[in-house]
Amino acid sequence: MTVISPLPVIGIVASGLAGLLTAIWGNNTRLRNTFGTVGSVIAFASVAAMIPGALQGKIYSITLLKLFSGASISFRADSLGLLFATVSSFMWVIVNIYTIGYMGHEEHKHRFFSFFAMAIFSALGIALSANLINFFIFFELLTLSTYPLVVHAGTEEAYKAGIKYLIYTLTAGGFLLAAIVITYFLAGSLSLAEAGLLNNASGASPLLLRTLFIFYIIGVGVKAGIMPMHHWLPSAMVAPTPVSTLLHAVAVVKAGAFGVLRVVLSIYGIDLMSKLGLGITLMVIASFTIVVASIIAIKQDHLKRRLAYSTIGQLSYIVFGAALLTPAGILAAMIHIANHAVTKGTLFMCAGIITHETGKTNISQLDGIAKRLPITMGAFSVACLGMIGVPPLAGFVSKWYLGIGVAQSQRPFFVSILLVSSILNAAYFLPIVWRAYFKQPEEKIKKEERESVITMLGPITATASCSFLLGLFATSPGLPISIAKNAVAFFTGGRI
Amino acid sequence: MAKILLLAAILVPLASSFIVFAQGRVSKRGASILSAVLCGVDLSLVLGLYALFNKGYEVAVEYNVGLPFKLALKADALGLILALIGTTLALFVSFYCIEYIDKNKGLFGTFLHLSMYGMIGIVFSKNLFTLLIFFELFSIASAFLVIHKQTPEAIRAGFQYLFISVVGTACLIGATAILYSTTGSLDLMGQGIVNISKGPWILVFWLLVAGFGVKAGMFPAHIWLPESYPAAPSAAAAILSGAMAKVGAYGIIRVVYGVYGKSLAGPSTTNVLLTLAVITMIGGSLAAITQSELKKMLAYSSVAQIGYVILGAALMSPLALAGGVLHIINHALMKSSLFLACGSIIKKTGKSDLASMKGIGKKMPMTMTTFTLAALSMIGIPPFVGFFSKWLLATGTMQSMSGGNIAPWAAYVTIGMIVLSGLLNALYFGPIIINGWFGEKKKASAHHGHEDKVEKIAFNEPSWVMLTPMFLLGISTFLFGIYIKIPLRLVEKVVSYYF
Repeated sequence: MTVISPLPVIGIVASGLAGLLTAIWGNNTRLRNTFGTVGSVIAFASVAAMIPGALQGKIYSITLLKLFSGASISFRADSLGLLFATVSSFMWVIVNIYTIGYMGHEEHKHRFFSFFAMAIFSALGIALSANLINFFIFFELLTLSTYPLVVHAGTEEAYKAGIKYLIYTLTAGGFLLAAIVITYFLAGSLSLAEAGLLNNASGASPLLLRTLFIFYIIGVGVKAGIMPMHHWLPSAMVAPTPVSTLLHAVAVVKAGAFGVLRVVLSIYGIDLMSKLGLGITLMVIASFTIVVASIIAIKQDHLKRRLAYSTIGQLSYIVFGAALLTPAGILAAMIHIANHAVTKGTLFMCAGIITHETGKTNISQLDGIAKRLPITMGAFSVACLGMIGVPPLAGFVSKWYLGIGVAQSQRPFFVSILLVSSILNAAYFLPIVWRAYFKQPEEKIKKEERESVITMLGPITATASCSFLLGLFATSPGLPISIAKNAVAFFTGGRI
Repeated sequence: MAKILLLAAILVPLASSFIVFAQGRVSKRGASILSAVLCGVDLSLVLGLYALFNKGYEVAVEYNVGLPFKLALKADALGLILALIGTTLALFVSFYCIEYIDKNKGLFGTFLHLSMYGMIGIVFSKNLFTLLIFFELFSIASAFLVIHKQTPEAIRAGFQYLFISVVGTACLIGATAILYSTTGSLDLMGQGIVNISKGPWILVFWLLVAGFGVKAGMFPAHIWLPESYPAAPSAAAAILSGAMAKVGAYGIIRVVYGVYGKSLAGPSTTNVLLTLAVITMIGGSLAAITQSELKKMLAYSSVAQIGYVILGAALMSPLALAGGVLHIINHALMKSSLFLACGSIIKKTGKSDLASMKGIGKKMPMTMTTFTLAALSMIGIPPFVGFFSKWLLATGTMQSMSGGNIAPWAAYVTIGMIVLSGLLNALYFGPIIINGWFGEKKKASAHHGHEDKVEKIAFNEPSWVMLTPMFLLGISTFLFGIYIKIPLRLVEKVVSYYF
């Protein structure tokens, strides 16, 4: 049931305003922090306010502006979009606090906070887009607003990473635009409110639809880091850690993964996907990415690079789940957006604290670091276990549903991918934890060296507890599974 | 009433050019202020015409001059769009010029108004005969804008421009002669001349396209354009590229739809035009990438953008035509703000090579903001205006395919080229934006060995006289993008007339 309501816009406006006001008055520290904090809280509150309604099957939607026939600026909070919006706005609240602590002495905070808010603005716009034009607009804005964040360090390396980022994402944008144009022509509509928009394209040949799918996957897959389009992601590690958190856990790569879900579920629909044999294609690509990215991750000594490759692998879980085309698989894909956000968010924020407090960036330097940073490494370990999929943490729930999804799809071979990947996850995460707790530090810890500040420790504690919460109380109403179930029911036509 | 207004809209610029010239003898600054005021008068007259047209009045005048053809003027939707763009840009540019032009302010205003007279005359011409009269005058008057700086290269570029315009006019005259002798009609504003299929119609078609294509800067007749824009003052380049080169593109739309009609030109002819348009679009951008001087780069970019408009005419589908006409409006806004921003950089720094623009955003934030807005629109980032013309052209290509005008492979290639063209735009505008805003830091990090003292940033912007028109044009690429309905309302009138 669709309800006309301004609720979907409030969060978007709040984040946009926060960005704009910071751009104007951001030189004043107190004002800047106020804008960010108030904006993020309003954004999260307004998105969360839609959850009770959504659980009863209400879909809040609003059209702000008609652009031309078939396209408008309109927002629609269906369960899938709402889930992504909730995750990004919730993570914004937390990362914003962390950033205030982290960026204490950095330069150009003004610009940084402004574009940070604009990135969230774009992510929320993507999540709640009601049509493909709207989606494309925010997808491109996300690229533009994250570029200044990627090059923030201002070094030669940062600019190189920035150019790489732009080339990858803008090219992808080109493919996406071409795909949208052809979709408009084939289906006569750009609506994202259907379970299979291209079912309306009766005259299209399978070859055209398959080619179009490749265009879509390139278009959204670059942001999702699907191999071989992932190269920009590890390079973008030169950015300050809050940006990495934003890129990896909150907005950018999640927007890509969300885009894949939209393409598979809203644009093609599971029936058309399986009829064209696209599900299995996508599954093979995702499996390849999962395994290869994990293997590369093992070889990385730079902590943030290892985490980056881990992200590439983890995102492909989302793609993998969607490609299964079974209810449990789709459910797993949706909730993994949330589960990966809290766990990877924790990991990156912890990595940031380690660098911020000790200046260490490589894993081989982390001997005995747990004595120096007990709370940080505690949160880090929890998140590592969550990533590996140890019950009762969040990651376990995703893997559990993925397993059921594979069983439903009757392609048992792919269970082996899940197993191998879990082993590889353990192989690149556990050594860090082991090193931090059981190896002796080279230098003695001096007395004045203490844990980090509360603005950074608070956020990691919060996200680490979230990964417990999302695991232990996974099925409670209001948490991701309950929201995702509605979406799954809609996209699969009631099968659950 | 309607007739008087129509005549006034054409004659006021002519009178203004004399008034400004006379005033220029007395006071230079006075002349440029007066010139801006008179441009405002022009604009309000054209707006008045538009209001009448909107109410459904037939806005037309005819004179028998004793020749077999009449001197006939008419304001229709397409003509009004061009006239609105021309007068609006003239107003903004002449306001900007109050501060920008140093030498011969009076003369600049004089020739600006004289060119406007020619341009408005052309776009309101009901037949080819009337158009030719204004066309010649327009070429000469606008050549003086190119020559304005009176440097050797400016004079050379001006004469090259004149020479090539004369060639174009010759093509038009030839075509007019053949057309009149075979069909007995020179009508431009219909939906196709009835008897056109008689006689050497293919020859006439290409003569007409060549005549207008030269003005537009279409490949392979684009060579004059990258010479003359950089030689002209930036303000002149803004209106030359934003409005006056559009007269050529306007002519091609008239030829394809008004002279030949959508059924007569046929796929075999328009497909050649389509190919030329794509070459213009991609080739212009490729050439722009290799430039190291901002004005030259913008000039090549203008060539590329004209390709979009001609693409819209060649695709023969309603959506594509809408895209082409919309791009006339969009490009006017984007390119004029780019040239004006470029002008204010030259005014303040004296340099226009790309290398010296590093970190300029810190000193000239308003200028750089304008530049960034317009450049993003050029790249086709939504929701800036540039995105919508690309969108309409791409959907128009699909529509053209389903109408059987082009082969499916050609349609997909064309869409690919439209997308590619956007990326090429990103390739040459991107580095300027990035260097402009972030460039300085790079320098600091290169030799961070000794401590650089953070300099207090001193703004070095031109005064509000230059900033206001420039910024308004720049921000309009965003505002009209959000309210794309407003320009589309104009465009739809053109499309519904032909389809």
